[in-house]
Amino acid sequence: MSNVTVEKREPLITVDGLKTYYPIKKGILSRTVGHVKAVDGVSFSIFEGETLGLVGESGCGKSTIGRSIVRLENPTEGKIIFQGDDITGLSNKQMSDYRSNLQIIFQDPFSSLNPRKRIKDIIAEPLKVHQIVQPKDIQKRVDELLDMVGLPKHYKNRYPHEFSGGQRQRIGIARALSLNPKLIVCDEPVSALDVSIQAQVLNLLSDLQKELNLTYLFIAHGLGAVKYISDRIAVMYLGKVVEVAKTEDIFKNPKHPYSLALLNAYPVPNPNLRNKERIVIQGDVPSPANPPKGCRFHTRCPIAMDICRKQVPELKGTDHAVACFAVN
Amino acid sequence: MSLVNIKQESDTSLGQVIPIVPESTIKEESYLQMVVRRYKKHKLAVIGLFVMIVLGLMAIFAPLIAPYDPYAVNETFSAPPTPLHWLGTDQVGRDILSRLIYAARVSLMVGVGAVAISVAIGTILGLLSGYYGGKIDMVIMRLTDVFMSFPHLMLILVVVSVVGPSLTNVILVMGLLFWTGVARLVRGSVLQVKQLDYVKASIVLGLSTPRILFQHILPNVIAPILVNGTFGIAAAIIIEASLSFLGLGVQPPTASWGNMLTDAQSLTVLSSQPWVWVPPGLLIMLTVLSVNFIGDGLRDALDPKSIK
Amino acid sequence: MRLHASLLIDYALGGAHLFSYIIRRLLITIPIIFGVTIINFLIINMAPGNPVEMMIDPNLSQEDIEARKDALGLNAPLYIQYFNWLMNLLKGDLGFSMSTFEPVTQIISERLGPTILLMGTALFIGLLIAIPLGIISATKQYSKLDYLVTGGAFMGISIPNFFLGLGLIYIVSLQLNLLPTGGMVTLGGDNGLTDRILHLILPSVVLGIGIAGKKIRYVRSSVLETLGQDYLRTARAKGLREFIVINKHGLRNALIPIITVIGLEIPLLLGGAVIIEQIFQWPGIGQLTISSIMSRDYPTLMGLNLLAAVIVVSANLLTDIVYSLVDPRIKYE
Repeated sequence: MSNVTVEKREPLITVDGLKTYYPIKKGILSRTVGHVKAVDGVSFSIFEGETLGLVGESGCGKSTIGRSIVRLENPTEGKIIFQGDDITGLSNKQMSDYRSNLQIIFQDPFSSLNPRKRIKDIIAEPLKVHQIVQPKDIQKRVDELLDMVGLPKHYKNRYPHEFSGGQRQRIGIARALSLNPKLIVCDEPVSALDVSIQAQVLNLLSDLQKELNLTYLFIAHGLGAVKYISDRIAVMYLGKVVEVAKTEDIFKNPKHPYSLALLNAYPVPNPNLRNKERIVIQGDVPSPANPPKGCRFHTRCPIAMDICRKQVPELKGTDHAVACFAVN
Repeated sequence: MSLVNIKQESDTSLGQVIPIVPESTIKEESYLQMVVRRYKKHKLAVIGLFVMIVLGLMAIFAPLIAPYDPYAVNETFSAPPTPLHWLGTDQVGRDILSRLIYAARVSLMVGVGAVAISVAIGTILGLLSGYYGGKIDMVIMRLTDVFMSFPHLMLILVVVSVVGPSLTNVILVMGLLFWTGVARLVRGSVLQVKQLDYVKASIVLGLSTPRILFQHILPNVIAPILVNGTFGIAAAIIIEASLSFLGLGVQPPTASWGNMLTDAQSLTVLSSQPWVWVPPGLLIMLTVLSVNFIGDGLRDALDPKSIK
Repeated sequence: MRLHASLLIDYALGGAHLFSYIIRRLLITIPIIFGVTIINFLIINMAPGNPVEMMIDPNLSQEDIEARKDALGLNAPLYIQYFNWLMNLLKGDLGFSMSTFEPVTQIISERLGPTILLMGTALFIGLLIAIPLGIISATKQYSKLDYLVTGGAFMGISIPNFFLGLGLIYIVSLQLNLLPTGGMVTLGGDNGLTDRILHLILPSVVLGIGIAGKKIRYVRSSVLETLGQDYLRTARAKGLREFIVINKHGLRNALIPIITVIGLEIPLLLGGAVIIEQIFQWPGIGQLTISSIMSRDYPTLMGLNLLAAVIVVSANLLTDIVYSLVDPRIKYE
């Protein structure tokens, strides 16, 4: 089910009605008393060569979706379709055919690399296991990959602890690229880096995308981070997607009240362009174990109506889709 | 990491500009080198290691060092130290010094043997238990609960008395009992390491489970195993000594520091022949103390909380 | 999950949570006890003689013995034998000693008292030594006193307790003639309290030193961790006594973990008791263990083994419960 018809072609990956619930166990016999509804019915598609930005507050489920796509998490319901194949229920063995196509870059540069292995071994390992190149060419390929991410070859004999956060992220990117993937899930790859380094890494990701025709699912918790690199942006709130549109449309013409609020929180450099009226959201995020009835956002929405408390709004629209009764 | 002479070089194919640190200012220190460096800071631990090496050499070269055959009976028995027999002779007439030297073999074999078995079993079960969780975890953990419910010495005594006392039996029984502690430790470490992103990356990269377990998880879990193993050697030595002392471990005429103390249970020997029982007791203490120091030094050297 | 909401619920249901925790702990204990009995049974089977046969009262006539053998199904498969043995166990029957022909339960219960007395005193002495020394060591960290105490602690855990026992007998009893060399009372003596105390001192001190050696370092690190640098600076500045007065509350928190560790000492104490009772001729279950081994009295041995395991399991259970009552930070889930 695609929300945006940029071109009439098949998407690289489609997520359809994805739900991931975690059971809550209480009591003497550990009975399941409820569920944390981390992802509650999410559908989108990503086309080859594009970047879909996925934004939302902490706990909205965006990381869960990212991990579900690379099958680090198992969805409770719904489908994940990659290049026409349903990969949702595949066993570990069956997934091995798809693994090289779906890679991930992690948020924390300090836990994403094995501290006991040298860089050259970290990057060479997937090459060896999947037999991407001949054994005699492995180190050559490692050199190429390091070069691609902007690290000098002679760094490869070093250990992760000798590198800065930004450099470690580059190594993580090189590792992800080693299998020649089609899709890379970028799980907040720059959130843990200094601001000046963030720009470098984002540039790198952007350049790599153009050169290798990569597809990205770029997860972040602020609109600012995704603006530069995303073609389209999906905004999430409490397990559901509330708005999907092209990047420029989200910024110029945000329709969902939550997107509006996120945007207002995004610092605008030019004081003349700053919005005079700010929408301030009240309250805290409700618990995903007990989401509000009806529209999830109604408890904090400044324009909430009666119907919002009772019914769940559908995501409606083609180029610019919104899930809100007030807008539709 | 100190940056000296930051040079800007356009070094990559994508035309990126990044600061480069000259090679000479960064030392590549492997994990092993770091551990050794930190270990050397503990004087006691270094002394302990030295002592153990001496004892080890003594055990290996016993036939060359010992003045007499430890089994040989001489004319004088229960004799006090003389120039002929530096530590005197025991009740039967065997030279005590020679027996002392040969007994080092027993203690070291027991210590290393029991720990080797228990670490092997415990590590594998702990890895499986921690990584797979679920039913496997439950079964293994319940098993460790049951085994740990028996007081160690009592259970060993009971089993050894049932299967018969001997050096091999003692080593085997200890090995089959101590694995529980190792398994718990490994499981705990695995649970922590399992969460880390590089393990998750390994899964996404399609690496096989044995590879993940042995190449990614195990090396990062080894530190507590080493420390626990070292203290385990100390414990094993004491338990063997206790068993042999009670007559349920290494049987005479084979010499063990423990069974050299058995005779001291008689008040006559205790009061009038201190040369018989004091030296073996002191040696046990020295060995165990040294191993404990080593363990302490290792623990601090491997502690990730105090890096650099 | 919102932190404050669940904390409120926790508080209100505090009692209920604790109750369910205790129940859950008990439920886990049951399979453990079963496991213990199974292992025990398997060990018995390795010994010569049949475990079920050991249950038969040897004082009966030959015909009766044969009848009991049939009734107990000596040729039945292993699991039936185990079941019969277990049934007997639950009735409180541990079989009959092969050397004295008395019921095992009787023999053991006679010896249990002295051992508990010994273990209790040892624990008390051990903590009496360890807690103050540990606190001093922590407050005067890195001083000469600290190194002395830590060194002493190392010695305490490295010396085999039988060597220490023999050594103390040699020095205190034989050379200095201060204390008796063994037994619980002097033969033909007045059986008075002083006499008993004198006999109790050496064995419990030996065991106590072993405990103290381990605990000193534990107390030290617990105090260091809980109290933090400010408190300890006070100690160095104002002196130890005032420090204790000022920081009673903090010290209490620091000492709470000691409770858990006491529970963990019990299995080691039981092991230590075996050796010490042997050296000091103390009439407890430790000495009984040795004599049973020597005389190949397997029924008694198995009974002792089982008892030891039950004691350890109970000690662990109690420790967990006490700890959960005392430490408010523990989550019961």
